[in-house]
Amino acid sequence: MTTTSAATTRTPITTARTTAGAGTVFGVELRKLLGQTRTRVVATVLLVAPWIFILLVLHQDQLPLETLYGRYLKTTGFATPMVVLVTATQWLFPLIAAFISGDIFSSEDNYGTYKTILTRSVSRRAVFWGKVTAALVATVGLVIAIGASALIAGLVAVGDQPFITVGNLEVPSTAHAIGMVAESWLSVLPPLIGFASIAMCVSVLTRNSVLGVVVPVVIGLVFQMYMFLNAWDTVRHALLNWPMNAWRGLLDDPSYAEPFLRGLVVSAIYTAVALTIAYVVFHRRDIQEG
Amino acid sequence: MTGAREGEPVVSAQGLTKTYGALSAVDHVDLEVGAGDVYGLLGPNGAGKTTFMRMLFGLIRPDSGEISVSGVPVQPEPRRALAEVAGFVEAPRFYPYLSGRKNLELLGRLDGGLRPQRINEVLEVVDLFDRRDSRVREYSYGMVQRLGVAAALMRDPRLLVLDEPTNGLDPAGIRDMRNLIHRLVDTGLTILLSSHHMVEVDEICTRVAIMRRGRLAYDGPITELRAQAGRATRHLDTTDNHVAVEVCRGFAGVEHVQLDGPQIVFDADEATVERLSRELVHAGLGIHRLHAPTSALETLFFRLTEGGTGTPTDEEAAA
Amino acid sequence: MRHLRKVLATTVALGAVVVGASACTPDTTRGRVENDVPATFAHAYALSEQLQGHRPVTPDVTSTECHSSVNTKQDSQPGSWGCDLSYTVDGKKKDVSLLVLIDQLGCYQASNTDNRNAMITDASTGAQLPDPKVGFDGCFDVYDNRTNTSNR
Ligand SMILES: Nc1ncnc2c1ncn2[C@@H]1O[C@H](COP(=O)(O)OP(=O)(O)O)[C@@H](O)[C@H]1O
Ligand SMILES: [Mg+2]
Repeated sequence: MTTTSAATTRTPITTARTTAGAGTVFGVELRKLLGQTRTRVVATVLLVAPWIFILLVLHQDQLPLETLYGRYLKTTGFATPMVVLVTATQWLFPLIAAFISGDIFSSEDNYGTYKTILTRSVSRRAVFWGKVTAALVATVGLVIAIGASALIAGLVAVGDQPFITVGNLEVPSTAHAIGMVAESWLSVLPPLIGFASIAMCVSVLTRNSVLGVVVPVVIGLVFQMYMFLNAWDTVRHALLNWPMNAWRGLLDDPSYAEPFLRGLVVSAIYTAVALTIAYVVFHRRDIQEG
Repeated sequence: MTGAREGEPVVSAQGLTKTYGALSAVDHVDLEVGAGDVYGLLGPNGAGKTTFMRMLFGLIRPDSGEISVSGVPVQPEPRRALAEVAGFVEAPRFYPYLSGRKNLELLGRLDGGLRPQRINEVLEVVDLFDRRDSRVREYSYGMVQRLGVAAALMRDPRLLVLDEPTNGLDPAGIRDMRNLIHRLVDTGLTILLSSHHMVEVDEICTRVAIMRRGRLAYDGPITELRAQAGRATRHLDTTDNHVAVEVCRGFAGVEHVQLDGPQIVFDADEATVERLSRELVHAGLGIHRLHAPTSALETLFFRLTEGGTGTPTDEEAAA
Repeated sequence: MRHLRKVLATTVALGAVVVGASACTPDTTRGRVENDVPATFAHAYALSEQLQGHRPVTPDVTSTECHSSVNTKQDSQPGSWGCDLSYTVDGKKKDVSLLVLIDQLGCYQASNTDNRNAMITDASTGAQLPDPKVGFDGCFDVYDNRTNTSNR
């Protein structure tokens, strides 16, 4: 306790205070995510994993034939991001969505910091949408980065031999091949956003970081179990895991976009319902804790 | 500009009520904090002080009644009313995995603009500048509390709201926090401060409201409260208590004189005690100790909040 | 109470529609399998030749017959299927029997029942690869109109 001068040189406020919008909250949330060691560790592990995977495969005689594109892992480097995609759609993508989005609201409950941010010049609406966009951008960014890492791993470790479509046709053009890999990875983003929205909804409802992550993962696993059940196909088409596989149609010969387009609608419905519930609950809630 | 007109209250609550089930945490509270007031919200634990402040900050919604700041109602959109309000309820909270400076930086952005120089200034004020790059996880309780004050000052508020800022601090922390508040008072800030220590409020505040089970038991200038308080019980120990007790018994305004073991106990107001002490010295007595273990205000406080005469706890006697 | 009954009725109706719809249009139909397997086989055959450095020749599949070994009555549903193909390549007529394992996503692994582990040498890299024409993967569109039980 040395100086009092700073406290007394308070600048008089002559104009109305500027307020922060969702864009500012977005920036702050991204900084907070990146400031967390666990986010950085998990992101690093996920980016390195495809490299370890393809190097292990190249040192074995066996190929994972039971996985789509597994038989072409040694034929073309473009098969690496495809095998990673096939594997990741089953459980990793819902897990990534839950990991980032399932914590973005409940971590404030966890740290008791809602009162800290909501007593600044920022509305609840801005906090909500800033957090939502930060979670979605981080989730989508991480998935795209994993795809890029897997593609580079394949090209470096195996080579840029012609891509082979789902219909078993060769694609001689490298640019075209990269385009197809990118197309397939981008096509999982709508359902990924759906999973992230469910995670945020759970996060808002439970106010608990563990449940915020675990519940969406369990939902994803239950969906996934249904996917492999010989049960009503129509129900399966309404699950978020279904559009995760729509790229198979886009890369087939001849290609068909209907699974992707229907998947867009399914994903949009999940996203809209989850975020609407989350928004209403978040906007009305009392900040009692902390 | 949301600035108050001359004479318009900074905070104004009318019939403010919040219930939890059958419990009325805040029960029809009418309260006004004027510009420049250092306003003490006094009450024992569970009186409803924090609940009141949460409603002031728009963190929870009142069940009925209204609270406004500089004439702007807090609900339904708190942001506009609270443009020039800063502070914290209960213990301030920060992101433990970030440094104190980084925390302030993020909060500065949420205020609509970041001035790195201001962050350093407020860190200096609360004496945390040297620890600015340590993670908040490594801060002591008192340091987090001071960071809370820094975070509030960073907003250059017109109204500073502090909820039991000395609660949970060790004696050194309490001393530092009180000194800090004294300095802030000198800057002319309007301050709303809650406490369950009468002494603390008596020392700092110009106006006081005493809360009891959600209701206001008293609201007015601290001087009026002192006048109401009247006599306090005093303890006296001198070089010769047998002589002293006779001096006291014969002194106008001193009542209920008793020789109680090693000390003399009596009731008197402040002016009388002043004259009495001179008289004792004049009678050739040396005074070892003359004090009021429970101040008159405290006695009144306990009467108002508990409905009894009340006995001070050790903590309060020490304060 | 009336409200509740309405909700219940709607739920039952919706459920019935879902069940009805799914009962009418299974994802895996004989029509879709018999359309996709021969086309993908032809591509895989050409790919095999190309990888070995031969002239990429696409066989002409002249007949296909597929049956489910799980649901023999309706010839639908994922699981194990058998396909018999006749094709001509360079004027020579050949037959092939494929075991087709179909999953719930409308994708399958097909393998030659006689010779499923054949390997080829990649002419460009020299690596040993499983021969695409004796084992290949494929997917079919579960939203197309081939919902009949046969492609004929
Ligand atoms: N979220 C809550 N749920 C139920 N009761 C509460 C809640 N918050 C406060 N209370 C009750 O309201 C009363 C006032 O609490 P509070 O405002 O924290 O008192 P103070 O700050 O004066 O100690 C207490 O009896 C407390 O138990
Ligand atoms: Mg409290």
